[in-house]
Amino acid sequence: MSSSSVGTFVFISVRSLRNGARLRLRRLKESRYLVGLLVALAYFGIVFSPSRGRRRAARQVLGTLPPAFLDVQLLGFALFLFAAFCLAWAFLWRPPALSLTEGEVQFLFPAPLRRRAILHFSLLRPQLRLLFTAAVFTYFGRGSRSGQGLVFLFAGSWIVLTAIQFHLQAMAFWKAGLEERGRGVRPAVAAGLLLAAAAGLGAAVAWVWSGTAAVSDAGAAMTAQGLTGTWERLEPWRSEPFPAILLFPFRLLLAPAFAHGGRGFLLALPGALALVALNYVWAAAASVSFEEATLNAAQDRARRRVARGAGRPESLPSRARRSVVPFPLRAPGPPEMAIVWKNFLAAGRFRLSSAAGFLVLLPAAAFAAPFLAARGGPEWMGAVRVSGIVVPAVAGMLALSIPLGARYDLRRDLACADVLKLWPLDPVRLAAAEMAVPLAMTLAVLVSGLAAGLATRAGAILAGASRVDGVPLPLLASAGAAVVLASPAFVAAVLVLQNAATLAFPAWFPPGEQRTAGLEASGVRMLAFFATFLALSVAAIPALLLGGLVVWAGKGPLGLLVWPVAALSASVPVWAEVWGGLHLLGALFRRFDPAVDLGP
Amino acid sequence: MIEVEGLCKAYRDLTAVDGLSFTVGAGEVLGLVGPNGAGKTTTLRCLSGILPPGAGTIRIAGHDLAKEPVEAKSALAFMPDEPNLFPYLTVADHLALTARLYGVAGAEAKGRALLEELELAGKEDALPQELSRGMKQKLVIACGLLHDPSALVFDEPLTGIDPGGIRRMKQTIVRRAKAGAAVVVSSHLLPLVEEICDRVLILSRGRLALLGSLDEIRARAGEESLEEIFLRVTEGGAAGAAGGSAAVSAGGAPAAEPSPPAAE
Repeated sequence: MSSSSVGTFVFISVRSLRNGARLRLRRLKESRYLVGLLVALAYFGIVFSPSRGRRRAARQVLGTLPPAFLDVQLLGFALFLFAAFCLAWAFLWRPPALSLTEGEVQFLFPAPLRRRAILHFSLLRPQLRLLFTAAVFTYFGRGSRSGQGLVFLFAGSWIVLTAIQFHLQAMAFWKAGLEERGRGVRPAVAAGLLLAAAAGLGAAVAWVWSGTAAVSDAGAAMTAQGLTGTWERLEPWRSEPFPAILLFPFRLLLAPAFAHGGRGFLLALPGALALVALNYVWAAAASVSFEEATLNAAQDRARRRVARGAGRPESLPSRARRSVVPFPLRAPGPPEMAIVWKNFLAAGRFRLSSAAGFLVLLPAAAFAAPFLAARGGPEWMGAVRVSGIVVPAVAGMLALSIPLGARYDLRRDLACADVLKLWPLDPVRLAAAEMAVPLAMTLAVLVSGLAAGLATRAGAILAGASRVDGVPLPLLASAGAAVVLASPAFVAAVLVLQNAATLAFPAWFPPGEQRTAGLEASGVRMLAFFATFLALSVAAIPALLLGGLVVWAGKGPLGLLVWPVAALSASVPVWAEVWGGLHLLGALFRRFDPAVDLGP
Repeated sequence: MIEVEGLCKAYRDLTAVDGLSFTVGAGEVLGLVGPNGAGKTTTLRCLSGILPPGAGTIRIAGHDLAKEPVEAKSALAFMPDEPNLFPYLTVADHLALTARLYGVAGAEAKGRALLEELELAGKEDALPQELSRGMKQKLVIACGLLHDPSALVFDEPLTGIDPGGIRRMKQTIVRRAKAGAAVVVSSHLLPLVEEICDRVLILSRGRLALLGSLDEIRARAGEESLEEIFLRVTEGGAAGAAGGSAAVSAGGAPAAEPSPPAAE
């Protein structure tokens, strides 16, 4: 590379970095991002920093781990890299594109620069990103390491990531070069690679299999001395041809990250760096044409970024799917249904009848499963019982997350407030219609999941396969009915709170699908979650008081029915709050000024 | 009919529209012109109910937009300069959505005819990101015209449209006016305004600078070309052009008394 090329590339890299940092810092002038950053730092500080006592306890446990533990890790990672290497060579056929942006293509390709200089720039530019990734790996994979151990892990991670990047780029160039060697070359090579990869993976599986037998013979023990002894007794297995030959380059590459002490690290470094250099030279020596692929890849990335920013699907639905609508929408009828129809389409191209069929099928299948499992033996019945607990639990978790994550309501549509404000619809009715889809989705998932759990239990009892212990079915049914009856009001309350936050504070909770990245943006989202939780807790106080009163008074006369009745009573004040909330949303929507609230 | 009286709209310290009054009768096309930042788009967005006015009243088809918004908006169509469409809805979906929102009888036949008229036939399954800017603009116009509005507001209706489309768009606007709609067209294209508008309203710094029929304006200004009149009015020569009074009453429609523009 000439000095002018180097100067150009240094300029681009330094200015991009500087301007990116400035942008982030400038964003902190907005109070929401500053507060968000503080919240996120506090949160991650609490989550990732164990208390002193806990940290000391962790050190005591991990500090007893022998050096053999690092060797086990090294071997495991080498095996993983080998498998990934085989799969990449067999199946990864990427176009020979350089990692450049549209702007860089536009400026650098017509500039009087040698194409090899551009290639060097493209290969070296991701280094900062790789250093950051290596730091993240080091943080999360540090275990009991400290001091120089952390430095080895960081340097080793960076070496591995860099070698992978160079290797993948060189492989893409090499595979693209096959096209230029004539017709028929590529299919033959692809078939050969597939066979070689299959043979390599087969050898790996066979070696691991023999290892499990060797481990059981050697008498594995998960204590420090036990592990060292087992490791030593496995020496013959570790010296077999597969690890000695096929895993050698991967062990060489990983050796600095898992070095035992400073001397080991220095001894491991030259081999690993030589591998990095070899891959770099291989990639940089490519003479394959990369211009068209680079331009296409840059445009594709830019398109996807814009689509993500605008909340558009990155890939378009097929022509056949475009005629699929949730339900036929005729012109006469309440206009609110048009908004519900539109928001279902925002969620995806599916028919409501098909979705409803699936949600009915789930409990039916759950009911039938114990009858089938009874024939398979106690293991199968055990698996069915576990699924009877897992399915409603997953449904419950989804029911908690859908109102927050599925923004098929005003939170998304306010980005098109200009259009919404044109519609001849009362704002309160508009707000209610907007929230119908996330409400329906949440309730459908919750009801179907709970019904599946109950159906599994009922099926198990009726199948008579074994005794069914735990909470009695009638009590479960009563509790399930209570959840189903209470949840619509509470889910609606969450949706009102979330929509009201966007309408009242659009600068803090921006409408649309655009997601700002970064620690400070994560902090803002956490804040929104905590605020919703707090507001909902306050809103739930009258519901809890009323529900508690009903349980206290009705437990004797109503028996198990008391729970559904209490849930229904508890939901009354929440529905009243939702009704008030909808009117608040209407008033906020009337006041919402797209020119001011949506910014420039 | 569109009636605007004393319309004001301010953003913090900036007064975008200041005491604007005008009327557009049934079957009439009013051209709204002004330099960049004169307050045209703000006026149109207030007219269509997107922005709440700071002061003043707007009546669409006899309904006060603030007091009877649903009735007023049912009679109105606004075609913005920047087509804003739902990314996950096809062309046909947009028409179906509009038909239900406005309760359009015979929507399918009307939709087909509009797509034909606006050269979007065959694009029913296309998503907005597969349409050119001009096509998106046409789709917005098709959705706007689907419910046969009696008040039409166009903001730069010809942006991004090809020459053939421009001709057809002009015909569409004129045809709708002849069918009895009150039409407001905002545009920087003065030849377009001269060609299809019955009256012209020149807006400068948020205030009405000149209002009247083309003939009246020309007679008062002593100029033949609308471009010359526009430049003199908006760049400080209105008093001279309009003989000291910027407002010209025309077509029986009341014209507000504007503040006199600065003398040359």
